[in-house]
Formats: sequence, C-alpha cells, structure tokens
Amino acid sequence: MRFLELFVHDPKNPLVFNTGTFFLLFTAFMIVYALLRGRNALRLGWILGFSLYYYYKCNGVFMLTLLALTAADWAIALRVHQQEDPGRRKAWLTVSVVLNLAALGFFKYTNFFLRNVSALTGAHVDPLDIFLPIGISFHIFQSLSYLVDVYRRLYPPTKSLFEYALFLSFFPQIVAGPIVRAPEFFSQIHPIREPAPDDVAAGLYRIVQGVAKKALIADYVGIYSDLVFAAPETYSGPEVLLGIYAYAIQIYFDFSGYSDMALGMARILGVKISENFDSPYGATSITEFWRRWHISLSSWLRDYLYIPLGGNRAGPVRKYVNLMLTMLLGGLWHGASWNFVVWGGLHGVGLAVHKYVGTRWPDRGARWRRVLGWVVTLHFVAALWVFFRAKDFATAFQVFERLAVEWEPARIVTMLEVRHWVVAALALGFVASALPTSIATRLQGYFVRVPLPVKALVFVALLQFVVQVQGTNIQPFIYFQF
Amino acid sequence: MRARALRESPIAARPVSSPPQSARRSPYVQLLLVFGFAWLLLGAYALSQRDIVVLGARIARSEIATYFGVARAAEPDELAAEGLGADVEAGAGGAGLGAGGGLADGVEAAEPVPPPPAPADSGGARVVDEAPQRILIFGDSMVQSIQPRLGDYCLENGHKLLPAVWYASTTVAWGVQHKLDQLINEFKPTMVIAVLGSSEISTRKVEERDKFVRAIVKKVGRRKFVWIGPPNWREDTGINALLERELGKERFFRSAELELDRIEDKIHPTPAGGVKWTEAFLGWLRDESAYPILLATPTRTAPKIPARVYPPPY
Repeated sequence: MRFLELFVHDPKNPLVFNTGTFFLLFTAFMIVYALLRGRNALRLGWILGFSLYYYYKCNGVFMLTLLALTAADWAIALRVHQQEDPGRRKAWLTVSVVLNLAALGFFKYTNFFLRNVSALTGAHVDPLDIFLPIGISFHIFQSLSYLVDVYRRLYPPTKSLFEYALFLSFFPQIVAGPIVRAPEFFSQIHPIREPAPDDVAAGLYRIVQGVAKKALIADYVGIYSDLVFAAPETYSGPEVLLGIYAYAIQIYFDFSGYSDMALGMARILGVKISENFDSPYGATSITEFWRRWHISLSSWLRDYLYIPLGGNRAGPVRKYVNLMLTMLLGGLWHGASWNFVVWGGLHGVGLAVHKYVGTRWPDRGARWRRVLGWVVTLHFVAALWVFFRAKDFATAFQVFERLAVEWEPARIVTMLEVRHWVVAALALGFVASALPTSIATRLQGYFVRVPLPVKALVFVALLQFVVQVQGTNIQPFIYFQF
Repeated sequence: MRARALRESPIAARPVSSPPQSARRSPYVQLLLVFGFAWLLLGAYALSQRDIVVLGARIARSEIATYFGVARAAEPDELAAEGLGADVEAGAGGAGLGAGGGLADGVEAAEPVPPPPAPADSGGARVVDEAPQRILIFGDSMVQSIQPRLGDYCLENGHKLLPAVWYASTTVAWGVQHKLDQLINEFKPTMVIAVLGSSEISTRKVEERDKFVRAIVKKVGRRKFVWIGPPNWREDTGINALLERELGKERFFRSAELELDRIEDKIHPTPAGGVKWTEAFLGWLRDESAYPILLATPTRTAPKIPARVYPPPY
C-alpha cells in the first residue's frame, strides 16, 4: 500500500515541492494547522514536527545530523552568551565553527579532497560512499550566522531548544534557502501571526508562480540544455549558444521558483521571509547582479566573510584580495568541484574589474552605458554558468570551442525553425527575469483580488498542466545538490 | 438635526451592505477550499475510468490515487499492450513541455554492459522462449515501419506490444533523457527492441556515440534486448559498425544492406518495404539472435496499435 511509503525515506525520490505528493501532504498539514488557531505552542510544535518529517523524507537517518548540530549549536550559543571572558567566548565560537565546518567538510568535501590527493600523489584512493544530506550547506550557514551574531552580542540567544530547532528546520526553506537570519525568524513566532486573507492569497500566488517557473519554464528549457551539455561536440555554434542561454534561464527559474514556493508557504503560515531574487538578469553590472541574485547567500558572504576579512577598509589591494577570497569560497560552497571554484573565482575577477572601472570612470548614468552594462553583464553571467553546468573542464572548454564554429546563416534558420519553442520560452524567460519587481507585485495584487472560485480554477489549471507535462518524471531542484 | 435627517433618509433606511461571503471566511478556510477543490477534481479524474481528450491530447492523471492503494484507470500503455483502444495520444505521459528532462543516470560513467543472459543451449539446438512477452519497441520514426507487421506477430503469439516513437531521435536523446526509463517503469517489458540510428547516418565523430549506446543498454538492464540498425539510404559514417561493436552480432540486426521500397523522401520504407524489413528482422530474431521467442506466422491482421509519440528532441 503506497500510503505507507509516505513515511519511508526513499533516497531516489526526495520529497520535492513541485509534486502532487507534497501538495497532498501540505493540504493535510494545513488542515491541522488551521484547527490549531490560537494555540501558538501547538502550532509551532506542528510546524516543527512536519519540518522534521519533511527533512527525514529528504535525508532519511541523516536527519540525526541536523538534530545533533541543532542541539550542539543551541548549547554553544548559550555558552558564548553567558561567558564574560573574551578569550573563552572566542574559544566557544571557534568550537562551534569547527564543528559545523567539520560536518560540512566531511559530507561535502571528503571525496573532493581524496580526489585531489590522488591526483597530486598519483596514489589510487577509492572515493568513500558518503551521502550528502540535502540542504546541509543552507542550515549550517544559517546556524553559523546565528552563532556569530550571538558572539557579537547583536541579540541574545534563544533559551528554547525547541524554537532553535524550528528556526533551523523550518520546512519551507530548509533544503534550498533562503538563508534566514535569526531575528527575522524569531520576531515572527512570538506568537506566530494569524495571517490576513491577503497574506494567504499572496502566499498561494507565490506558490503558483513558483510551480509555473519550475515546471513550465525551467524543466522545459532544461531538456535542451541537458542535450547540449551532454554532447556539445554534436551541436553547431548557434545551437550551443542557445544551450548556454537555456541553462541561464533554467537555473534562474528553477532556483527562484523554489524560493517563490518557500516564501509563499511561509507567508501562508504567517511568516514573512526576505526575497531571495530581484530580477537578476536586469542587472547592468556584475556588482548589481550579486545584489539581486541569491540575495540571502550574497549578503551572508558579505556579512560573515568579506567584512570580517577586512572588506574594503584595508586598502585597494586588500579589497580585491578579500573579494577574490570571498567569491572563491562562495564558489566552493556550491559544490565540491574545481568547476565551482573557477566559477566563483571568475565572478570575483568580474567584480574586481567592475569596481576598478567604476573607480576610474565613474558611472554618471549615461543610457548607453547602462544598456552596454546590461548586455555585457548578462553574457558574462551566462558564459560563467558553463563552468557551473559542465561536468568537467573538458566539457566546458568543448562548449566554448563549439560556440565558435558553424555559424552559417542556413544553420541559424534551421535552428530557429526546429527549436522555435525553445527560443520562445527563452525569450519569455529573459523578459520575465528582467522585469521590475513592481510588475510581479502588481500581478500578485490582481490575483489577491480575484474571487475565490477564480483562484481555485487557476490553481487547478496549473496543477493539471504540471501533471500533463511532467508525466512520471519529476526533476529535483538544482540547488538541492548544494 | 443632521443626524436625524440622515436616519430618516432613504439611504439610511437601506440595510448596510455586508462584505462578500468569501471575505468573511477565515483565510485558512479559503485556502483549504482552493486545495479541496483541486484535490476533488484531480482525485475524481485519477479514479475515473474515462479519458478526457482535449484538442486531441489525453488529459493526464495525477498520481494521488495510488497513495491510497487504489488502482487507477487503465492507462493507454496497457490499452496499447492489449492492442485495444483508440489511436491515442500524441505525447501522452510527457510529450511537449517538460517531458523527460534531465540527464539520465549512468551516461557519464557508462561502461560496456555485458549482454543479458541468453537462453540455455541444449545440445546445440536453439531454445525458444515460449512465454508470452511484453515487448517495448522504441526509437525514431522508423519504428512505424516495423510496428504494423510486428503487431500481427504479437497478436498471433500472445505477446503484448508497446511502440514508442520519438521523431528524429538519436542515441544521444534516448541515452541522455529519461523517456526510456519512464517507458520501462510503466510498461515493465520483458523484451526491448530499439530502432535507432537513422538520424545518425551522417553524423561526424560517430565514435563519440558509444557512451550513449551504453547508457541505453544500461537502462534496459538485464531484459532481452535487440537493436534494429538503420536501413541505410546512403553510406553511413560508421553508426552501423559502432552499434555492431557495442552490441554484438546476437543483439544487433544489421539492416544497412536491405533493399527496401521507399516513399517519396527516399528514406522511410513504404508499407510493403516495412513488412519486408520486419520479416527479415524477425527471421534473424528467431534464427540468429540471442533471444528467440515464439514467432508463429500470423493468420490475421492486428488492429492498429496506439503508440507513444513524442515530438522531435529539437
């Protein structure tokens, strides 16, 4: 009986938001949640229970890692706060940082380390069979920010282990962010706010938007980018270029679609989480791109890495060094591969160049410069996604190599004829991803105001469309692997 | 005075309009109404026995009924396997948007896969597996040339057949994407037949296709598996040699030298050409392949078997 399977971890099928199964569970969750109105402790307990269940469905017994880190970090934060002696406070903080990074290092980077040792020494080292718990990078970063803030005495630690567990495991954002800061979360659960009708409708809209982004755009253009990156040698220059654009759109719609769903579900529960994206492909410089892309990570890297390293206060040379270090580590955070390091490093170079150009030739708001900046930024970002997507450097270079060949007009015409739906989806994707947030807000406003039956019909139509196009083949979110 | 005038005015006499009913409901009641409506419709359709077809496309069912151990309505593949039902669906189960995306497991690491076990040879005589088979035949448009006559044989011999046609598809497409996994998971074939290679007759660097062929073989696993090579209409750049090398003579049926009548495009066989091609293949399957199965000559023509049809992979 498959009902029982809902309570068993299946490593091959993590519970993904964009599935009927998840929505069925979420509906059941919401029925109980609604019945617990006015009982804050029970509601929070119910959220925690469902969050741990969700994490268990994604990670099985490795949920124990989350529980162990939660207990340890909660206790250490109290210690850090209680200690008056600066040396001891720092020592406790160091213990917690080492503990968290050791856990992350073991699960995520052990085999990367072994591969490199093997390559450097020539010794044959078999990789270990290590399961990477989904979402570990996110909750460890969330925990580290809490510990550092407590150390800095920005706020007192929570005395409740239960609340801290809820903060780290909150199901809408545990597996792929946004990385939430503690004050933002704790300020909203004492008591958890009873949402207004508009909140629920807006939350539902964000879920609808997220599902549409993921299932209709990301997964569709992803088919094409998968083909190109699997065998770039078989594609012409225009086709490879289309494949690169396709991946740029895929990763944005995939990740921002997940974030939309996370924000929507949290809002329905009465918790507002900060936005994680702000029309990143509309950025006119690489610096602006990083202010709009994966905002919770880039602000984390700024606050807990770049500024502690000295930021831009220690002279121009040190500023560039700090920038490069931050981006290299940011790249490595995404995955245990030199591809990600190179990707982060090249973004660091881009940021450094942009800062240098901005210092030498300040932007006085010329229109041509903004247009040029937009085109250059978009293509720079898209080109660097090649390192992010390709399975190794050889494939990445092969993609760039193929990009330069077979640009005969006849090939372009054929490509446009054969792949017109991909081109149309990409055009739609780029326009949608560059639109100002105000337009999305306005659309959300329309949805909030339409009568309930219309909302229901839109929701059903979308679910049916997703069922129609996905068949039995559900694609997990790209950022689950980080 | 003014208050009294207002109280007595016709405006004041009218009852104060109440907010719409939906606005008075708790937000969570509204949300659960939306969810409930969705599950009611999707659930009812998932349990129903009748297909809804809109603009020629079958409306797919959600998986929710299966979680409660409820058997869902017969899916088109089962109908197809029985040789019944209407000539269904363009792209059921995933054609069009979002179908089959993602890299298949094992493409990157695909190593040559050992052939599945051949039937035991008793004293030099070939042992025919007389059990009825569930045959999945997949590939490019050439499947449609093989399918009609193969359908006759299946009907005669009690085999079930599911044809899956992915127009203009290649070893790359089937190797990389999940369509084959999907089809195998859904249909659970005992025998798989690939009809692929026609779109790779002129491919340069054909030797780089080996990993995709291996990925396909890996997806099929330890089921009976044979591959019908492309019926060349021009000299190939090595696809036949590659397939023969990867699969071996007992799993690869070489069609390159067959003289077949072709339609106007000079590529696809005519119906008569298709019959000739199929007979040649089945003769090989019976007499030379690793997996002889029951193949008595048909005495009747099978009804047209509906196929899974997918648009070109770009």
